[in-house]
Amino acid sequence: VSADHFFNVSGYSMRDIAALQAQLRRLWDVGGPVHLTAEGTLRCDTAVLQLLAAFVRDLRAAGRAVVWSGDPATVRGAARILGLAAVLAIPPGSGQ
Amino acid sequence: MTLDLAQFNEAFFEESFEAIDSMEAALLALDPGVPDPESINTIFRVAHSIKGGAAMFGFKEVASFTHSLETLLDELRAGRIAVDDTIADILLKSVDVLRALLAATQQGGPIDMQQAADLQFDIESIIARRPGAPCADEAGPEPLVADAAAQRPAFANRWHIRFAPAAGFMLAGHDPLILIEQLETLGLPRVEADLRALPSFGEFDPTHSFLSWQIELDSNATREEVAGIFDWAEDSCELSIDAAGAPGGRGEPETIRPDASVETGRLVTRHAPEPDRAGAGEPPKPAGVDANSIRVSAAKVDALINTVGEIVITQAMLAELGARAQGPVAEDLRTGLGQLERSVRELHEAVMRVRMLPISFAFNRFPRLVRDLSHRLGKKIELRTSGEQTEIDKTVLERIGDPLVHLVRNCIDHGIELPGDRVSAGKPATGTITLEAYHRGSAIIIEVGDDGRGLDQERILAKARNRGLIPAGDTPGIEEIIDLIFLPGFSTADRATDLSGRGVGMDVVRRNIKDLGGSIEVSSDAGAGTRFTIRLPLTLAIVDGQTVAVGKETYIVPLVSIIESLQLRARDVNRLSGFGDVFWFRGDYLPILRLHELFGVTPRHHEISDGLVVVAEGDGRRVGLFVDELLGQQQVVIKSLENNYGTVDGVSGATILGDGSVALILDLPGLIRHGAPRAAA
Repeated sequence: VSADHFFNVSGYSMRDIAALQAQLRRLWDVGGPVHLTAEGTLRCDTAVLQLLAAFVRDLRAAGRAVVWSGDPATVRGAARILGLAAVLAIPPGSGQ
Repeated sequence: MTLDLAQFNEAFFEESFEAIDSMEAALLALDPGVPDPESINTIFRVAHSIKGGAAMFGFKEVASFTHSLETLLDELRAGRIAVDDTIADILLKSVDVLRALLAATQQGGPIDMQQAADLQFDIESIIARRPGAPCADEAGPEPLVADAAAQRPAFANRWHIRFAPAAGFMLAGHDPLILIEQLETLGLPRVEADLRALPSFGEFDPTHSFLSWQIELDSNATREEVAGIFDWAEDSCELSIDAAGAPGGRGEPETIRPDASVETGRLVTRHAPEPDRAGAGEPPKPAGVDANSIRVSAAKVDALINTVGEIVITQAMLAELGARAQGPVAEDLRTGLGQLERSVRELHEAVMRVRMLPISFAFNRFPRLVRDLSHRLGKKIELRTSGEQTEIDKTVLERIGDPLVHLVRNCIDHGIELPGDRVSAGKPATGTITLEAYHRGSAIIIEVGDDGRGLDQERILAKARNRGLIPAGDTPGIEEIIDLIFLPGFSTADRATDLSGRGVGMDVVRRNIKDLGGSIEVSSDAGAGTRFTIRLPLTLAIVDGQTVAVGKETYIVPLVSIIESLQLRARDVNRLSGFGDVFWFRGDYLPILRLHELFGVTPRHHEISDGLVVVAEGDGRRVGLFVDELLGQQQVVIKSLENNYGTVDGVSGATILGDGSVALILDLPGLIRHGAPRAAA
């Protein structure tokens, strides 16, 4: 898997959601599995999670793998609150 | 559009410090044996709010620490970890750490993370050791649901909430995550996201909202409290909140969208019957927000008070003019001026009340202080407070805190006996410290008392004699003996502890209280206890003063400083080498300060027998102020001399009199330091 398949979603918010969308489009276009990470972020917002939800849902519908690496604790926590943990395919954490 | 969050920093800190105070109060009220679920919820809500705010503002250290704390509290409120003394102690330490973290962050100073890291380690160890650990995240992607189903505590209500943000919801600055997250502060929510309206990724405008949620919330909160969470966003979403089992409840919320053609239509919700009758009839109260109050900076209030002070002065000037007015309209003018005076007085009182805060802000620290110190000393002490809602000026309130701490620490350390000693003396093993506040006239009275051993008068007297403070053979009265405890460096303690007994404190207490224009008295009964009675002015903006004339000038002597006024005969005055003129007053020679000499004005009287002497006190020293005449007593509005002119020794401020002239307000401690020789005062 090349570095082109990796992307860190940390630090994005509604403020720069268009930039995140552009990055995810690039990942989409690369093809193959997608490796996401969100380590080091303390907060994310609904705009980011909504965009990720559409992205991950459609990737998986297209038969492509989505892998979260590291411990995306904050994204997991926010996804849990919004009821999006399943659609985002975020694995259970190993403890925070 | 970029929102500069920094402008809200101060509000965040203010609210966080207040929230920590309430968290501490709830913790102190928590009985580890049978913890009240609502108290734990209250504590959780505070941690949760601070964490959210800190994360939003980018205060990572605070957010990280409160995240761990919040996790522990979540375990406690779900009943997965039992509250015991160890956890109660850790939670109280967390309050201290959180306060320190916030203070360091607010001041932009270095943050000592060691203490926070140590405590965070302890917290996380407790969480890891809980039955059924590892932590909630490992239970599955939706741990809250799984845990809640298994161990959901009993809640009075179950609410079905349907929340559908309008397309422009996030563009308007709202975030569903924050709103839904806040529901966790009210109870245990189950959240299901509805993704049916979410377009495919390729045709996606990520600034628009496409998700909606069905939420089942088990909570003790009323409908109004739940709705309060969505208060700020209700114009730009569809929202329904229905009681479980109510008609049109789950999945079929009875909602009406008045104008479906606009994206941000206000929603009307038909309420099902209220399941929690306890709250019926109460006005709606958004969670965590008092809708009837606003937060205004003290500087704005002070500017308002200053302007009203000017109006008071102008009104007084007009009243003097009106009194002298003659002619056909004079009577009507005086009637109008009388009405103006009443209105101005009401306005002045109303504005002054804005600065008033309940004394509970000062009292709130004492439950913790008493708890911690009594544990350390092996004493059993109950703290009783009353009159917490008695209001006092904000500045007075801020400056009375430390003196009160000194007094309460003294009560704990010196006053209350060890349980065994108390029982031997026929007293209950648990001692009592009382803090009371009430208004009396234009003053607030604060009483600090204990039912301990009382002041040992013989010991105080012996100590004073040893130190040469009382001549051998003198037999001072009880009041004079007790007054000795206020002398600098005076202590009867055999050994100094880190709490008290170093003789530093009581003199500082009295000086601080005097600086506030107040006074302190002590009464004590051997074996029965000691009571300190503090009298403070309600505000520092107004002073009760005695106006005195010296030549053509008028000065204000604060009434609180005055002991007596008298006329001396020439033979009452002696000249002592190095001390100037002195006179004998109640067992002491007091120096005479001639105000005309100090302020360089020409007096009407030079001979002592022609004028009057005002005996006044400052910083524990007494002097006689020689003046031409006493003019009367009145309340005056204090104007800062420092802001308008500069610092003048012996003068605390100025005021404008009814005739428009300026009068200086004397600062007795400064006047004595500046003008009085070191007489035997």
